[in-house]
Amino acid sequence: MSQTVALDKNHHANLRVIPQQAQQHGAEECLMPVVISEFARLAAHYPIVISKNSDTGQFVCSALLGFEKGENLFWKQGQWDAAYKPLNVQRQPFFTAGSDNDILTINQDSPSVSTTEGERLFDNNQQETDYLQNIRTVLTNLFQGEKHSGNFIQTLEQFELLVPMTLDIKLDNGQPKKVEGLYTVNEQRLSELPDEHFLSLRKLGYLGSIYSMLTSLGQIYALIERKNKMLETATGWYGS
Amino acid sequence: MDKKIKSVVVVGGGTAGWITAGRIAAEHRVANSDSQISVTLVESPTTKIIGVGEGTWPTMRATLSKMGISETDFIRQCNATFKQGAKFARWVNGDKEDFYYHPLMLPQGFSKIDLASYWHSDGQYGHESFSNAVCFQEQLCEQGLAPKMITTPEYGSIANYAYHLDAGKFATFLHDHCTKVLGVQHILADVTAVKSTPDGDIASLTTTEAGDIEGDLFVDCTGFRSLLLGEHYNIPFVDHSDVLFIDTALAVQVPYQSEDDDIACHTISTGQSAGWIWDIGLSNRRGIGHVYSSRYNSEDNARQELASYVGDGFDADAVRKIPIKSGHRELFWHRNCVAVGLSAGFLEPLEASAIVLVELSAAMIAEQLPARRSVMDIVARRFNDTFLYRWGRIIDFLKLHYILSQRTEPFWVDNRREDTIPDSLKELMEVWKYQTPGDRDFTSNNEVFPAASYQYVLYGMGFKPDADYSRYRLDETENAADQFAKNREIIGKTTAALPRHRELISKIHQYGLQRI
Repeated sequence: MSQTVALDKNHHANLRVIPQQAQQHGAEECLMPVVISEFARLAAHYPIVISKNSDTGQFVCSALLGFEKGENLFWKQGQWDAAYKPLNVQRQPFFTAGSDNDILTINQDSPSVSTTEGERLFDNNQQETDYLQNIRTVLTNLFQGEKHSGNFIQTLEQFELLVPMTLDIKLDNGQPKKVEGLYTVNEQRLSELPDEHFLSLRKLGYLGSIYSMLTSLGQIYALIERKNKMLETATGWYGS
Repeated sequence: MDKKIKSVVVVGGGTAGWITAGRIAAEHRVANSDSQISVTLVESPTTKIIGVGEGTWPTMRATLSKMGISETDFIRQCNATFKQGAKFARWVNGDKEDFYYHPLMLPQGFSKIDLASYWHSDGQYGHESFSNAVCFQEQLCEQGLAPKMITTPEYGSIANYAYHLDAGKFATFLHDHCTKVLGVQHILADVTAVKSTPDGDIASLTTTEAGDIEGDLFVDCTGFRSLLLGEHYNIPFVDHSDVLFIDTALAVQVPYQSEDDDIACHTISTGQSAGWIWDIGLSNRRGIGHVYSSRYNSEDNARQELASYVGDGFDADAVRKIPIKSGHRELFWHRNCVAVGLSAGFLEPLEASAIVLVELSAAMIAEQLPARRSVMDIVARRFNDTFLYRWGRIIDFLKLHYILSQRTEPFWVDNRREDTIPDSLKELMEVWKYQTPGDRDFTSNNEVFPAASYQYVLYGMGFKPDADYSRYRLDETENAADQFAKNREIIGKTTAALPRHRELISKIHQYGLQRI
């Protein structure tokens, strides 16, 4: 378990964070939890899917980053290769604690934490820097977004709009790949939804999120492309 | 008179009554306004249900799902747990280390290759128990692991499973679901008389609380009393205690020592001097019972054996004694009355055969519900043929557990006597001297236990066919070796991935399983 402590301006006056290093926390994740407020931005890069939390079995919205456990095809040569990074990546190495999530904490064991390089957290007057202020905003958005996303999924379940989705992929090297355990919105059922249910989706502001999610599935092709490129590079390096 | 069958009246509010009412109501959309059928369940306000049967078959998953029941609700409200088969301890020779498994999954590659023949012919595999060599489920049970994960959908599985449940809570749970969701009408009333039509059908039931209750089909779920089929129609009881000797059960509930004690993921059945003890783990307690034959054991001694099995925490005053009469009615469907559950018969608790017969009966009545009275006698004849065959096969399979024992107490010795073994079972045993049980031995559409179950019990009990008769035909040794290796591989994968049984049950109580 990593060492997470409350951030303290006296104690941590000289602490710095190297943002690029912080993104490393997602380097081996094939699914990254996301919130509906970022769907529109995510959809430009990632397939947005619904998956199950392996610990609780509860549905969560996630960006699909790879096709197998431990694979993040957006992590390239030590960097995150996409203009927009999910809030859960941006937030590293910061967390919140307390009953209202109002205590800002930091994972001191993160390789991004430094005292010599990176972004400062506090200025010389022990005031929070713009960097840290921005982190606070990210965490607030995440915290609120998680609640909204939970309600969003509950509504999809209630209207029986979720369906399992199996990806059957054939890679350029001929290798077949099957990805299970993903769910999405059933378009057929959405289009046949009784008027009053459709209206409540509109009133709850979920229509945009649903269509973002459906559109984003086109990114699966881009993800396959990334995988093919990676295999190609690997073949170039190691020989086939 | 050729009237339409519109009204089904079920008498009895135990597991059998509610399952039958629920299956008929779900199948015939009774809750919909345009349904042609009504289902009424009449329950006595004074008679208590037996409520001891706590183990099911995997078929229960389809039974619940067909009634539109959420598995999460069922597990939470009935203190249910998963059951991956049965462990038979001390049945072979009574030693402490003596045990074998009857898991709920087919031997590896069963449809393509009969591993049993290779297991017998090759010493290389024979040193490992049959069930462990061909099926990964024994290891899941031995290690206390669940058959699925919290991410597996409701009724979905990684390893096949049935349930253990609290029978009293189950009846209440089904009652709620049947009345609130499926449109079953519930009447609390004691039946005092049966009124007949001139041609001998049941016209109505007279009750003290609700007057006369009319119906077109009456389902007798009144337990051992068999109020309609037995008392009213006098359909004779066929006694099978000459084959199956068990005639008494002593049941007790035992609390766990602590809230997170492991829960066994299988029924544990332990041989005793004149019977056996069942041990079933629910989420909140264990249900333990001693079934024995009073011809071979005194009640005092039987209680003593139960007490020493339970050990600390045995509450002698809480023991319930239930008499068992092994046998069934000569017919189950007579005129417009069909019996389901104990009213049709009971053999003994081994292999949860009573509850599966309830499910099979409820399914057949629901699916073949006669549209008119003129069809009913045809359906009745089919039903009787089907279930007489099934009772027969169950008797054979239960008796099989006893005839291969090497135990020396009189109960066990007498169980092996030729004159106590049905001819149909003797025939099978003769065939199996030279070949392993296969689907060719079970060719009816109405089989209950599959050939694989016979393999698990036969070879678990140490039965050895004469391998010389088939050795020359075993030319797939490579494939067999692959399948044995595959089983070991699956054991490795599943034991690494599956959670502890207790852990999964707690998570289901906390988070629930998803529908998809």
